[in-house]
Amino acid sequence: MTILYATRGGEAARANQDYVIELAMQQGEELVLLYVANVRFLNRTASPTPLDLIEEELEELGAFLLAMVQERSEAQGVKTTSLIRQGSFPAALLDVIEDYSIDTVVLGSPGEESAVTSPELMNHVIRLLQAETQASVLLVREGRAAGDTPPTG
Amino acid sequence: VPVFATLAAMLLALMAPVSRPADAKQSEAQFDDYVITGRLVDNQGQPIPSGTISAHTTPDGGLLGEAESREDGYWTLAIHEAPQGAITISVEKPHFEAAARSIPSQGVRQLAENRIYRLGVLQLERRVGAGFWMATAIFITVLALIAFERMHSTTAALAGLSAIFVSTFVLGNLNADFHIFDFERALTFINWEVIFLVMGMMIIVAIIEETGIFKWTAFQAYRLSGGRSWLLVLILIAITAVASALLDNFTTMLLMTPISLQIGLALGINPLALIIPEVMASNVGGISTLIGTPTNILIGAYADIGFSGFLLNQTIGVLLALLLLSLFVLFYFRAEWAKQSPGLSPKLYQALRDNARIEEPGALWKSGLVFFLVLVGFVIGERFHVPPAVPALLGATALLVWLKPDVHHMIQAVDWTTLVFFIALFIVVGAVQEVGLISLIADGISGLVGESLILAIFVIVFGVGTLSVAIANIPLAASMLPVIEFLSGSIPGGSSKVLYYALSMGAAMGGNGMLVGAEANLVTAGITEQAGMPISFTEFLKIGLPVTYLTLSAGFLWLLLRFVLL
Repeated sequence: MTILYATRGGEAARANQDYVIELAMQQGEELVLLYVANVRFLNRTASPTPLDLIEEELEELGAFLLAMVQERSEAQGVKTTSLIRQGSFPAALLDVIEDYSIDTVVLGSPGEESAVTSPELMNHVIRLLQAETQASVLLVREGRAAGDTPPTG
Repeated sequence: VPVFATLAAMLLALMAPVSRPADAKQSEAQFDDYVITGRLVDNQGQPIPSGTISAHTTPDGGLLGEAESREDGYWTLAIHEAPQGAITISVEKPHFEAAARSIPSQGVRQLAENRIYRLGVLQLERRVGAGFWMATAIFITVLALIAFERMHSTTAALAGLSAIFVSTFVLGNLNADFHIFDFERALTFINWEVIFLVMGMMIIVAIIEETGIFKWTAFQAYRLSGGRSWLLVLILIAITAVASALLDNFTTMLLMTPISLQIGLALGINPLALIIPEVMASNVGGISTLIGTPTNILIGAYADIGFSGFLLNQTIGVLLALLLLSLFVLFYFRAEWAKQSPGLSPKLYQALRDNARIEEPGALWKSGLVFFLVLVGFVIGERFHVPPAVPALLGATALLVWLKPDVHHMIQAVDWTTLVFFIALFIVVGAVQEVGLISLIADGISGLVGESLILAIFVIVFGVGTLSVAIANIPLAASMLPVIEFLSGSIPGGSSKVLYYALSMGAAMGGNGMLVGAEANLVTAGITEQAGMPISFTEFLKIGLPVTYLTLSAGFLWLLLRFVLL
């Protein structure tokens, strides 16, 4: 059994990270941490942007953010894998769910400051996961479960 | 049918011969010609180029000769036959009232005897017509489209440029009042020195940014601070300001933000307490050099202010501004500095260290050397009237030859959309200059400040600073340059170029007021959002507005000390 937790880090996400680590520890499951970098924000600017370099910088940033979570989860005895992906968040989720046989996907609840998803993206992601995978989606907010959706796919 | 009729009318209008002053029949003066000279100026005493001057016999109105005024407003009209009787000089120029002046019989005799007659200065009165309103509406629309992000800034400027040409070449043929300026005249407003300097610097920066020097420097600041976050933020403010002055603030923040986020997390503080001061320092730091901000590049090229001009006249003001910025953020984020750092595990410390390594040491020292020589070239070049674009292009070429990077990659590093934006913007601003809007603004400011240099500095620093909070500072600075030129010539003491420095300070410091005030702010917010730490509009405003007015005050006081009191 494997839990996938997609996070961007940040202080507000710390409670959620603790919740996921606790969940994985209690259920004896492996934890896969996912950071998805997206350089779409550069569209807002007109200045020259070295795209490759920025993607590389964001990957290093993501690796550092996940390393901080991984250190805490491994200290609790949870076997943890950190993954970095670029581009589309839903596409990255689908790939990782398939590659790592994920059973539960944990996401920060939309609207929370550090949430990876907006409400619109969250609805899209949930519909996508229900249609394409067997994994259930668990929403967390401020370190507590905010709701889950049963697997239907 | 109405659509086809409109299209047909437009096509016919395009095919019709265009009345252009530049096409006016010119008479080349020969040694045995009779020459009349003079100068055209507007009501501010500014030269009027491309005005059509014609000489007619009086009273039958026969054409004796024609001439066109040059960039400096002077004109020379040659008459091939000995003048007889009275002569009338007529002047025409779009957006000005037509004028005529008679040469008295004594003057005609003088012309016949000496073969030259100096008519003196002819002042033309501005005429506000359809072209004026069209150009003004187009200019305001372009500014609004950029400010409200309804359109990419380059697209907005190109749309403005197209509308100007539609007004001139389509509507202008249906009704001459819509004529703004012809194509050749439009091209004269493009400042190619700016385009080539920006292009050269883009290539140099593209090579330096890949060396990893930004991350390495930030990590050294972390080590040097010994875990004291208040000290770290001061060092980072200094590093960012210097990097922005030498390269540009956008690139600086693009590369400093990810490592600063990691360092903030390593210290156990809110990384935004480091990053927001950094981005504000980057907006201020660039003011001290010619290449530090795009607005300085515009100002430098327009007012002939070189690298050392900005450095010597702005740096102390910038340091004062940075001091006030530092004191404010030390106070504002005081709760963060009080936090105890939990310290990093050896593994995470190593990860941070690895992320902050110099990627290409060989390229770093080579590009560092060339960059230093480019800076030397800027300074020495001033003595020999070498435009700054020349050392920049030489440096860029030297790096391409020496380091042999992928040329396609380097050409991609040149942001052509920005260069096109500059070109289109120059023409749009040129249009409002041509129709007289800029003169009206200059008149307004002149009426407000009178002959007081202190008041003029105050109005420019705080007025432009406040406008820059909401309006993109590049078009703002570009449109203010002719205004500053007029004020510099009309206010006693203005010839020291202090008002150009005031414009530089206002335009750059105003960028700190709001999150959308500068490109560096936007890219920084984009990166922090990627780490789950978005910078909210309100949070930025709470810090940005006080910082803007503190730094503007510092800049104003410095300019006062440097140019008025000392």
